[in-house]
Amino acid sequence: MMLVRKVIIIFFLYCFTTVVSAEVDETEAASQVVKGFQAELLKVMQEGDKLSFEQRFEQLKPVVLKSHDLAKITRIVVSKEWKKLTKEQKRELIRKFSTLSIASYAHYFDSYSGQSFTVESAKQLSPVQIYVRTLLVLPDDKDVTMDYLLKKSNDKWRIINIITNGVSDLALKRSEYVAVLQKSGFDVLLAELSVKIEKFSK
Amino acid sequence: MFFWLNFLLKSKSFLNNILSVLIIRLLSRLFTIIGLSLLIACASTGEKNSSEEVNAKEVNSEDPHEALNRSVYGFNKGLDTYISSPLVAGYHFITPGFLRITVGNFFTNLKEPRTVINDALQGKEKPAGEDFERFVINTLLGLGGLIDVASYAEIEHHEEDFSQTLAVWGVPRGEYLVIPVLGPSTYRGIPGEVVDAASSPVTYAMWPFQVLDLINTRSNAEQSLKFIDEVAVDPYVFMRASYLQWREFQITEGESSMENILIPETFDDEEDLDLFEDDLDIKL
Repeated sequence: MMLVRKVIIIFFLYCFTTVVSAEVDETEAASQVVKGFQAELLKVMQEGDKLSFEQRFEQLKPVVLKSHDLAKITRIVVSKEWKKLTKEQKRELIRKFSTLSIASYAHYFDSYSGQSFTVESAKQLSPVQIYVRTLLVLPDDKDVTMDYLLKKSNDKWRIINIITNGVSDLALKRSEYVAVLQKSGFDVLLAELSVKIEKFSK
Repeated sequence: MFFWLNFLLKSKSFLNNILSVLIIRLLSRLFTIIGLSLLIACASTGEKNSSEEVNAKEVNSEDPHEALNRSVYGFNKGLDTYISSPLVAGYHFITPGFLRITVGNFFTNLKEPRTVINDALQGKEKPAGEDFERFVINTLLGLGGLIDVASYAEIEHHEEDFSQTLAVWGVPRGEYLVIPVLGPSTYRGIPGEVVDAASSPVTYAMWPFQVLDLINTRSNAEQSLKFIDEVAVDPYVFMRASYLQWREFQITEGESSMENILIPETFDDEEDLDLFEDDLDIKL
C-alpha cells in the first residue's frame, strides 16, 4: 500500500514539474542561458590563477560557443561588407572572430576577487529578441551594468550583443570592423584579429 | 573583458587630458565664442541631417569631420606618448599606491561642487543632496577630501558636468570632434568644457596643483588607455564609438539608445545558412 502511495506521489510530482517547466516562458529560458554562461565564467575566474591561458581558453570554448551565436555576431559586425566577401573569407572570418572572442574572455577573466553576477530583469523585445539586464557586482567598486541581447534561432536563445555600462559591443565592433574593411580590406582585418589573439595569449 | 569601462567611469580621461586646465585658461575665451557660434549652428542645422544622409555617402555621416579629427587624434596620441605617458610613469615610480589614491580622492572631492550644481541645474534633487553630503563629509571628516569617508558610508557618487546639463536641457549633441590636448568631444561638449573649467577650483589654484591634477587624471586613465590599445582594431573608431555611447548612457541615466543595441533585422542570411550551422573547428 505504502509503495503504491509513493508511486502515485512521485507520479504527481513528475506531472507537476513537467507542467511547470512547460510554463517557463521564453524570458526565463533566455535568462537561464545568461546565468549559465556567467556561472561558468565565474568558475573559470575562480580557478584562474591555477590555469594557463590555453587551459582557460579550452574550458571556455564550449561554454562560449554554446551561449553565443558567434557566426551571427560576425555577420552583423561586418554589416554591409558581408556581401562583398567570398564564402571562404566568410568562413575564415567567423572562425577568427570566434577565436578572438573566446581568447578575450580567457584573457580578461583570469582571476577572482569576490565579483558576482546578478540577473535583474528580462524583457522580450520581439518574438526573437530578449534583453536581459544583469549586474556585475564588484566588492570595492560601483556595480557595472552588463546587459545581454539574445536572439532566438533554431529554437535556441543565444547571446548576440553585450552592453556594458551602456556601450554596445556589437555597435562598437561594427564601427571598427567596417572602417578597417573599407579602408584596408579583408586581409588587413584578419591580420589585425590574429595579432590581438596572439597578444591575449601572452 | 569589460572591466575597463569601470576604470573609464572613474577616470575622466576622455574629457581631460594632460595640460588641459593650463591650456583651457588661455583658450576659454576663444572657446566660448566658438562654442556659442557652433551651438547656434547646430541648433539651426540639426534637422537637416536626415535629408543629407542620402547623399553623404562619401563623408561618414556619423563623423563628418573624420579627416580633421583623425589628425588631431594623431597629434594627441603623440603628445601622450612623448609627454603624458613618461610623466605618469615617473609619478608612479616616486609615489606609493596609497598616496596616489589620496591624491585622486582630493581632486575628486574638488569636483563635487560642480556635480552638485549640475545635479541642481538638471533638477535631480536626490543626487544633488547625496553629492552635497559627500562633499561636506569628505571635506570635514576626510581631511579636506584626502580620505573618501563618504564612500565608506555608502553615499553614492555621481558624475555630472555641464555638457550633460546642456543635453538634459535639450541642446542637440552636434557632430563628433577631437579637440587638441583635450580629446574626444562634440559641438555640445565645447561650452560644457568651458563652464566646467570655470567652475573648477583647480583652475584658480597655483600651478603645481594644476599639474598634479593633470597627472592624476592621466594616471587614472592608464588602464582604460591600455585596454583600448589591447582590443581596438582601429583605436580612433573605437574611441569615438565608445565615447559617444558612454556619454549617451550618462546623460540618459542608463537608458541607452536602443538603436545601438538592437540588431538590424534587415539582413538576409538564408544563403549562408550552412555557414552559420558549420561546426567551427576553433584552435588557438
